[in-house]
Amino acid sequence: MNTPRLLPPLLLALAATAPLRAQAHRATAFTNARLITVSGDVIDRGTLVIRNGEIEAVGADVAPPAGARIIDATGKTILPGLVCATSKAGLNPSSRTTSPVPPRGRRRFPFPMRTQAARPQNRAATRVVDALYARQKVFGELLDAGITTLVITPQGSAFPGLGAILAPNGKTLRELTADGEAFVQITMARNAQTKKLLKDNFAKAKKIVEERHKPKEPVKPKEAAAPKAKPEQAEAKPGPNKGAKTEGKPGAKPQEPSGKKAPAPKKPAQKPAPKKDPNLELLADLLEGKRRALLTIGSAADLLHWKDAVGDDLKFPFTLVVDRHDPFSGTIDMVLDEVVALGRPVLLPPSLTVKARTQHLIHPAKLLHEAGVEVGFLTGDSPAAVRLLFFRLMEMVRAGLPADVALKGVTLVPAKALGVDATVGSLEVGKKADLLVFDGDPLSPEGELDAVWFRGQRVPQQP
Amino acid sequence: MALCSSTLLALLLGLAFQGEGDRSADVEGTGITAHFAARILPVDGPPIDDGVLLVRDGKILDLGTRGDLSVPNGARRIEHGEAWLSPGFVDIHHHVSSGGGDINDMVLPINAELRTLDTIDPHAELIRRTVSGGVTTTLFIPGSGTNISGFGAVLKMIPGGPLADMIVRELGAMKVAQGFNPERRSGDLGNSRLGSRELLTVALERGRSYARAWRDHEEGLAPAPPFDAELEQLRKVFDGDVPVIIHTAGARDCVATARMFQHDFRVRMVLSHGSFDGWLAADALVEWGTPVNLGPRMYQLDRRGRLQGMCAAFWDAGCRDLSINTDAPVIAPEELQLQAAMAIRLGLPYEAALLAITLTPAHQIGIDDRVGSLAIGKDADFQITAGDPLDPRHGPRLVYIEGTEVYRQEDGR
Repeated sequence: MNTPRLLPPLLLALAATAPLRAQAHRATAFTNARLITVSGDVIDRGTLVIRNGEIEAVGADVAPPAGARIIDATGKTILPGLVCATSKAGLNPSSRTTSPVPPRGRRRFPFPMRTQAARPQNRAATRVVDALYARQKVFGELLDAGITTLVITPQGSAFPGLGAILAPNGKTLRELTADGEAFVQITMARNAQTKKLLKDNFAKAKKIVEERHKPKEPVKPKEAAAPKAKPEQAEAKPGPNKGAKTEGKPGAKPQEPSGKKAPAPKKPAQKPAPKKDPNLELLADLLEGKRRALLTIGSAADLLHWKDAVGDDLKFPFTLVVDRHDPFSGTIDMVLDEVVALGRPVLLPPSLTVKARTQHLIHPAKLLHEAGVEVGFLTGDSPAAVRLLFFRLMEMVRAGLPADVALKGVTLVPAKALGVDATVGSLEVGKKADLLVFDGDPLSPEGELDAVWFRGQRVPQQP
Repeated sequence: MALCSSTLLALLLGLAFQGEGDRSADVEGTGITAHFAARILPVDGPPIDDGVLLVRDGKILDLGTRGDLSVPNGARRIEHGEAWLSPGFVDIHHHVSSGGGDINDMVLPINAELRTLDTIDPHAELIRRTVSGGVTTTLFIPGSGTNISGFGAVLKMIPGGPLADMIVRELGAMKVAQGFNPERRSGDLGNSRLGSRELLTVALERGRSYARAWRDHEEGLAPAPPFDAELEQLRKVFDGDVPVIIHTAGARDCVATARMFQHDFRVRMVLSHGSFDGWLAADALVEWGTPVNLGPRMYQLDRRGRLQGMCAAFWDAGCRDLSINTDAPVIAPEELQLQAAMAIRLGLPYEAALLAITLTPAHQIGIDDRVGSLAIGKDADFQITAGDPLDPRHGPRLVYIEGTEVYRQEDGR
């Protein structure tokens, strides 16, 4: 290898990066586009300006800024990127936990072991993103299909952990993880163990909240004596700050001597503080409104059992996720009054269903919407499901759901559920430039997805 | 007791009257009803803007623009305003008119003597749902659990019947299944495609000989053959009266099917499904002029999980004898329109998709003299939609079968 042979590629590489840098401050303007803003009215012919990955201007009378790259979008419809609020994408089967109820029928050898993970337990502080393998093509495929905000949902019943929001163009775990602690996942299962666990843990969390609001008193000697704690327990306390790793996942913790935790220990000179359970602390944060939750149920019966387990007066910020239509345990419209009384948004599958033991169609989303509930939809977590999503939306619109509700239900509503509606979910100034460009209306037969833009960059078409 | 029976009588009379009233609502005076719509899609001709359709005795008397066509005095006039009027859709791969179930006998691999006619339940909710999607004519065929599962009936989707009014043809088509589903693993011949082919060949040979023997007899060339109940229906296939609809998928099976039925046995056939990599066989099928009926799967996924349009692949290969099905209940019966919309989004031209759920399937099973388009003399089976009937954002507001309203959107779904 001599220098002259190495030099040209080096120069080429430099030349290639130069325009990219220049573009970073150059605006791109989509002109003559039909803009489905979701947050406001549809603009039949307007301009959308993006710069530095964000939306700079949107409207019918907006003029493209000087020097902007103009994309004539005549005949195209632009929609904000899809928000997937429930997903198992990229979680390998071993990181899912099985149902605590063994499957019915003859048990075959080897008999399934009742592992720790199979039992409902409070693992609320476990970060699902720590179990994720980053280099999987599914994230890029989902982005191709239009998912610009992707959630990873912890699997298991009761409190399986903290859900993450991914930036699906990421190649490393760091790039992928937009928020490793976006929400507390609560998954209802209809069995006595789960109900008891929910009830007990919320009761304990309530106590913690009460403790936190008690005026500080000098520690009584009786309390200090009880824990007989080992010294390092004081340091195991999780930081409530989002970036920090939270305890509770046995496999993930040991390596890090952690520079971040260093400022925390303020050596309790006399006696160690009582041990704090990070999972309960997290639930206490939830009850105090410092975190949000997704509560996943599968049927009307699940909701009634949830209320039975935790009571009516438990208040915390959550979105109800109905992950399937289950006519046999009751579709969600059967408990419409209870759902309305919750006063929370509901995410549900984008489809019609039938009444149990009949072929009579029912439209839970429409019924909920008409009762005043904010409805959103589960986009599915496979590329094929996402590509079929708009056909499912068409089906629901044809059966009476307003088109704007259908489109809001896959963008702004799930964005609100995840608490990211300030940055994504609609075409508004200051939000991320996550765009879907369609050839025509996304709910018409002709409207095929033409391009996906993520954070202001066009997602390259994969061969 | 007397009170009871007279009440019952009154109730029955009332019911009879109500039924009579419904069916004769459009027959007043001249017996002609004129339907006005912003646009009429005859399918076999160019769209008619500001059109009128005249109906008498359940048949189409005439159609044209409001300006050109004179509506007879005394005709009942129904204004549909800005809505479009288009023919009822035709779905020739349909399994739900028994209310679900009863479509596979599953005892023997060859059952050419069976038929679905005896299992129809006019009150089946799925018939009402079918018509709520604008589908007015279906071929109710047996399932694909056995190699020959019987004969399907061609039905008008009149919720509640009566059955006699629903039947277009008692023996609409014979159902054959090749590949996948009929490989029953039941321990007898027919475990694999090898055995399936043998079973089918033997059965078809018998049917062909039986039909030939009766033809010879009818022409006075031979004495009457012994009556064989097992082969009476199959005989009609070889007389050319009834086509064969064949469940087949994958390129290999598609080619094998066309070779067997078109080349070896020379019967009228429709290749149904054609899924998976069936489109790889499109060139061969086009060359042989094989009628294809695609669905319920409208797409094949590529390596990146993107949807590749199956109909478009057949169309691009030159296939013009192409129809689309739901295989209801595999896809809900009211979603034939959505199937067509999906085909369009995945590359099938609009006109081709419209034909694929109207005139082409009707032609494939030989009922295009009655349904599939709006032409003088054909059955007045049509739907009223808020706009384009292939636009999935709105389903039909009203559906008429033989001039009678059978579905109204406000009735709920």
